[in-house]
Amino acid sequence: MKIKAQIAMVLNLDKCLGCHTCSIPCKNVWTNRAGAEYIWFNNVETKPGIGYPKKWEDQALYKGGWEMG
Amino acid sequence: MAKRNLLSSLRFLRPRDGCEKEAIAGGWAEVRCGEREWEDFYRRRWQYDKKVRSTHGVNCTGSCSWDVYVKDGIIVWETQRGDYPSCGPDLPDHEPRGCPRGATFSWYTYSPVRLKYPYIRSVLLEMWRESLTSQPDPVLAWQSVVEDEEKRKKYQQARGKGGLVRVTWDEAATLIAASTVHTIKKYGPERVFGFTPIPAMSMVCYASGARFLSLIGAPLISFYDWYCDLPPASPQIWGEQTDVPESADWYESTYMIVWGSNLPMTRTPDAHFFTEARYRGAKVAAVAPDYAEYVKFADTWLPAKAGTDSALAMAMTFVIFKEFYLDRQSEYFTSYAKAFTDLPFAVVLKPQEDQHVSERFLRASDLGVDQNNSDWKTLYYDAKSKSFVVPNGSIGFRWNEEGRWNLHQLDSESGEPVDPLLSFANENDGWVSLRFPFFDFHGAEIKIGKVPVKKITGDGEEILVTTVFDLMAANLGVDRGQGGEVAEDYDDPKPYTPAWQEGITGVPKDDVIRVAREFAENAEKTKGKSMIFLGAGTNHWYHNDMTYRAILNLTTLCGCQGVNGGGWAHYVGQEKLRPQASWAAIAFGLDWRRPPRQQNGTSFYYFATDQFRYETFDAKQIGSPLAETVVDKHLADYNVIAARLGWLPSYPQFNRNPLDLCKEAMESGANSDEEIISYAVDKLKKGEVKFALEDPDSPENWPRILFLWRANLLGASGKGHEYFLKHLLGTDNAVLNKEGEKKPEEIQWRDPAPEGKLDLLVTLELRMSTSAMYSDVALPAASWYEMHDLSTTDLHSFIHPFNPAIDPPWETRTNWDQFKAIAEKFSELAANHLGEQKDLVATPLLHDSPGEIAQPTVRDWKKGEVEPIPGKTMPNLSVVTRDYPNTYKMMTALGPLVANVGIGSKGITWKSDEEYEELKEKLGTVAGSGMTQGMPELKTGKQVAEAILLLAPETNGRTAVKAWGGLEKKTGLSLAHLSKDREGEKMSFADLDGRPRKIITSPIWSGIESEDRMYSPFVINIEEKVPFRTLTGRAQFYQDHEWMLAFGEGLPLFRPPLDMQNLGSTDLDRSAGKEIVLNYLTPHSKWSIHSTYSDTLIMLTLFRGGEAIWINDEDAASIGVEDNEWLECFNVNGVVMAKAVVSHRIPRGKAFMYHAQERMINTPGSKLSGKRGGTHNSVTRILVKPTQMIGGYAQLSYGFNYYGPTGAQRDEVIVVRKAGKVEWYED
Repeated sequence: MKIKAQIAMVLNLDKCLGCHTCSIPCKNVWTNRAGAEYIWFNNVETKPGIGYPKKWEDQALYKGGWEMG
Repeated sequence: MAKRNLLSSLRFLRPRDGCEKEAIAGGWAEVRCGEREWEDFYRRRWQYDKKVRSTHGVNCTGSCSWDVYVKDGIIVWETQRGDYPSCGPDLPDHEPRGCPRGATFSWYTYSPVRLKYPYIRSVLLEMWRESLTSQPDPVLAWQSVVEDEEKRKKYQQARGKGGLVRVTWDEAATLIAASTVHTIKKYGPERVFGFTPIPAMSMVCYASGARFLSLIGAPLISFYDWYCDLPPASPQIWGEQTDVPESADWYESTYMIVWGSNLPMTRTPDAHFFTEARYRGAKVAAVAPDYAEYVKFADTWLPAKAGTDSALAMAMTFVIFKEFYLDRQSEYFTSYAKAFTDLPFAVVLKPQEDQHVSERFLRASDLGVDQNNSDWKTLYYDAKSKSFVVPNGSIGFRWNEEGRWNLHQLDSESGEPVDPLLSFANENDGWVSLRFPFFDFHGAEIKIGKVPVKKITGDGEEILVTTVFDLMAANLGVDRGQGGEVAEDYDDPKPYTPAWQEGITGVPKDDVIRVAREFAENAEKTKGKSMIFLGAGTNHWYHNDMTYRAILNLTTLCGCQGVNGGGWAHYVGQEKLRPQASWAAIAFGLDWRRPPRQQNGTSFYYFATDQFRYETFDAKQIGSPLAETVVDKHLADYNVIAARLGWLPSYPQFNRNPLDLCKEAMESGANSDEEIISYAVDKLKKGEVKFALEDPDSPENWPRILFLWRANLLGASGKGHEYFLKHLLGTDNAVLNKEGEKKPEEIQWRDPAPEGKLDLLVTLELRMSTSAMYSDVALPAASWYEMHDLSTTDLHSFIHPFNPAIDPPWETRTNWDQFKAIAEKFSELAANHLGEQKDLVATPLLHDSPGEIAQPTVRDWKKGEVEPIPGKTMPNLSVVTRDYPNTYKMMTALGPLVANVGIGSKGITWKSDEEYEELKEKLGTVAGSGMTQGMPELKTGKQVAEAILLLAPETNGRTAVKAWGGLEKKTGLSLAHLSKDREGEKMSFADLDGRPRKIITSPIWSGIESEDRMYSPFVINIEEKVPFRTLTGRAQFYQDHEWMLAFGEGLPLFRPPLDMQNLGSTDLDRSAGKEIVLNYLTPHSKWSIHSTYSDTLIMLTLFRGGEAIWINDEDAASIGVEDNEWLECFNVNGVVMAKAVVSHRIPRGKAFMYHAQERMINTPGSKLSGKRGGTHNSVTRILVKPTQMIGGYAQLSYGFNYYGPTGAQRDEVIVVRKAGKVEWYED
C-alpha cells in the first residue's frame, strides 16, 4: 500500500505569538487521557531571545519568508 | 426481506468478495478484509451530543465566544467559535478568538479544586449550632457568638487553616442572613461590604450580589482603581474613565509605539491585528525594559529602564513640540490643538519672589463676565476680535443651561466664530520668568522658563496671563530666543532633551529623536493614525498619572485622539461594560432605591487593613518646591480631608449607625427628610457625630461583613496581603513591619492596632481559591459553562452570551441563585428584627452631576472656612427608606423607577417606560401577592440578561435614538442620526445565542459603531463636536486644581519611581547572608489569567508549576543561585517563596513575578517568617497618592471605578536570597 496523502500544518513563525492556542485545544480534544500526557503535536518555545528552530528569526536571511520583488 | 441467518449476520464471517488479505512491509503491516470494528471506539470517542455557546468570565479582556461540547451529560472539551460578524472587506476578521488558558477551562468542571458544597469552618459551625440550641432565633444566636470576644477570636484565628466542613444551603444562608441582620441592626448597613470586579466579564453575576447589597444599603467596593488598572490620567485629561479602540482598529494604524502592554501575551486573541498591521506597512517601536514578547514584533526597541517612561516621553514631547509646533507649524496639528485641546486657554500667573508661577485657568468670573456658572467658564484669546472670549464648551455650559455645551469655535456671548491664539509669542505685553517644579532622582528643584504674557484688567486688578501652549514650551525648555533655562540642542543634557533622558532611561538619544519624529510625521501625513499601546507595565506605578500624561502628550499633540487607527490604546482589565446604563440600573437596585452606596477600593483597603499605620511616606517627598503652604501631611490625612469635603466616598460613613441617626433625628422632631439631613449636618458641625474615617480603628467603625464573589481578593488583588491577614482577618500572618513614626493628624490613633475587624468573610466561588480558603463560609458557584449571562469587552464591539452546557453540578448554584437564597433568608429574619427604616446615605460629589462644579476652591468646613452644605462643601446627604422584609421581592422584580425616573449614565438620562411595559410581556410578571405583583419578573439569570438587553441603547435601537435626546438638548447638536440606521434593531438573548452581535452607537460611549468603521474612542467628540467632560471641555494638558499645583503636577513632567529602599522596605533584622535587592515587578501571567487557570493541569505542566520568579542571570550568579532553585523573597511587608527562573530576558536589578500567584500550590515554608510562603502580594503594600483624591472639581470629580486613588505597587523592592533546602511545615 502506498501512502498517498499526508496532512501538514504550516505555521508562520513571523506571526506566531508563542501563545500555545494551537497546541492546547488540540491536546484537549485528542490527547487528554491518562497515558497521553506527553503527546503534543507541536512544541512551542516560550523563552524569547534565542529562537527555535535555530536562527529562524534571522530576518536578514529569511525576510519573513516572502520573496522580495 | 433478504434471507439472513445467524452466521452471515456476524460481520467477521461475511464473505469478502474480491478481498485478499495481504502482509506488507515485511510482515509489519497487513491488509485485512473487514475486521475494522475497533475503529468505532475512536469514532465514538469524538462524538458528542450537543454543543453550547458560552465564554469565560475571568477578566482576560478577550471575551471570546466558545463552543462547549457535551457528551452523555458530561462536559468534554471546548473549541473556539468563529462566527463573529465580519470587519468588512478591507480588514482581517476576528475569528477565531481564544487563548490557551480559555482552552483549558473545562478541566475545572470536574476537578478536585472545585467547590462542590457549601462549607463553614467547623470552629464557627460548632459554636453556631450550640448557640442555636439555647437561642432558636438565628439573629440572637449569631449575636451570642460574635459578641463573645473569646469565641470571635477563636474562629478568626482559624481562618486559612482548613477545617471547612460541608453544610446545607439552608444552614449556610441562615448564618449569613442572621449575621447581616445583626450587623445592620447594631452597626448600620454600611458596615456590610461586597467586592466583585469587572461586570463586563459576566454582568448578571456581578449584578446578583450587587443588587442584594445595594437594596439593603451595603456598599460595593470598586476594583478598577484598586487594581491600578484605571489610568487616572484618562479622567484627568479627558474626563473619561477609559475609552479605547477595539483591536480591529489597530489594523488602521500606520505607526505604533507599544509601551508596556504585552500584546502577544495578554491580548492573545487580538494580537493578530498587530502582526497583520505590519504586513500592511505599519512601523512598530517597542518600549520595554526586558525582551518582552512584543519586542520581537518591533522594528525599533527602546529599552527604557523600568519606571522611567515619563522621561522618555518628555524627550519625545520636546522633539515634537520643537519641530512641529515651533520651528514649523504643522497645519493639521495646529488646527487640532486649537479646536480640541486646552493649549490656547489662558492661565493666570501669580508673582512669587521676583518671578512668577502658573496658577489657575482664567475664568469668566475673573473678568466680571455675568454668565451662568462663570467660575467654571474658561477663556482664550481670539485673534480675530483681538480680545479674550469665553468660547462654547467649558464645563460651566454643561449645567443649568442648554445649547452651548459644544466644541464649535464660537464666542459664547456674541455667537461669532473665533480663532484662538495658541501662543502669545508674537502678540504680547512682554515676557516673564516663570518657575516650574522639576523632579529627578536627587529630589525637587525649581526650573526657570520664559513665557510671553498679556495683561488684563479684571475686577480692578491687573492679571497676567499666558497660554497653556506657552507654559508647555517653557517647561520643556525649548529655546524661543528669550532666555531662561533652555536647551541649546538635542545633545544638551538639560531637561527635557533626548540627551537628558539618556542618562535616566538608558535609551540612546538618536533612537528617541528618530521615533518621535517618525511618530509625528506619520500622524501629520495620515491625519492622526499614530497609535500608542499602554498597559500595566506603565500604569502600575505610584506616579502612573504623570507617566501617562507625558506619554499622551504625543497622541494629543499629533492629533491622534478621536481618529481611527490613532490615539492611545490602554488595555488593562475588561472594563468596558457596553450596556452600562441598563446594567447599572439593575445591578445597583436603581429601579427601587437611589442613591446606592459605592466605595472606592484603594481607600477602603488602605484603612480597613491598617496599611496606613505603617506609612513611612511623607507628602513632603513628592510636594512641589513651589508650594506656598507646605505639603507635609501623612497620606491618610489627605484621604480624610477628601472624604470630609465630599471628594471621595467613605463607608462606614459616620461613627453612628445611619438608621439610628435617622431615628434619633425624628425623635428630636425632624418631620421630613430635609429636617433629618439638617439634624445630621448640625451634629457633624458640632463634632457630635464624626466621620468614621476620622477614627477607623475604633470597633464601631470597622467593616464587619465582606462578601467576595467572582473575586479572589486574598489570592490575586489584595495588595498588602499580609496586612489583610493580620488586621482585617485576625489570623496568622508574616507582617515584619513596624508602624510608621509619623502619625496622621486627622485621625484618632488607637493602640494596639486592631486584629480581626471582620465578623464574617463569605466567598462565593467555583474553585478553592486563597479567598475561599480564608473565608468563614465558602459557597459553591456555578461555572461559566453552567449559567446564562452576557459578556462584552474593549477589544471587540460584540456582545455575546454564556449558556449552561449542563446544570450546575453537585450543590453549586449560579451567583444569581446564591444571592437569592441569602436574600430570601434575610427578608424572613428582617421582618422581626429590622422592618422598614430610614437610612441616611452620604455620597460624594459625583462626576457628570452638578456636584462636579461644586468647589472652585478648596475650603474646609471643619476648619470654619465655609459652612457645611451637603452636595456643595461636603458629601451629598439623602434619606432612603429601606424596606428590609421586602428585599427578596424587590431583588426578583424590576422596580418602577426605571420607568418613572429613568435610567442613564455619564450625565445623560432617559425614561424607560415603553421598555418597562415590553418587559412585562417578555419576562412575565410577578404573580404572587405583595408589593411587586404585576411587575416584570427577575427570578432567573436569563430574565436579568433579557432585561439588560431590552433597556440598553447599545442593544435596542429605539432606545438608542431616544437616549440621544438629552445630550442633543444640552449640546445644541444634532446627534440621533448616529443611531438612526439601526433604530429597528432589538437584540434578544436568543439572537446573541445565534451569533455575537455588534452593539449600537450610544451616547454613553465616545466612539461610533457601524458596519464600515471600527470603534475608536473620542470620534464623537472630534467629528460631532461633543465636548470632553473636562473643565475646558477639551483634552487637558494643564491641571489647575490647588492640590495638583501643590504637588507640582500642573503640567506633564518626569517623576522618578519612589525610592522604596529609602522608604524602609528592606529595613528588617536578618542574619547575614548573600542577598540582592531587586525592584519587584508583577506583570500579567502567561500561564494563567490572574489566578484562574494557574491550577489547571495543563497550565501547571507548561512551565514550572507553582510560584516562580524571574531574575537576571548575572544577578542570580551574584548570589549563587541557579535556575529552578528555591528563593526566599522578602521585605518588611512579608515573604514569598518561589522558584528561580534565571533568564537573560530580565534586565539587571529587576525581578519579575507574574502576578496572582496564590498560596495554593507548591508553597514551602520560609525560615524568616516561620510560615508557609505567601502570595505574590505578600511583599507589597499600597501607597496612596493625594492628587488622585481630588474631587468636586470638573473632570477630577469622583466616579465609581472611574476616578480615585490607585493601588500602585510597582515601585516596591524585595530582598532575594537562595533558600536552600526548604521545609514544608506540614505537621
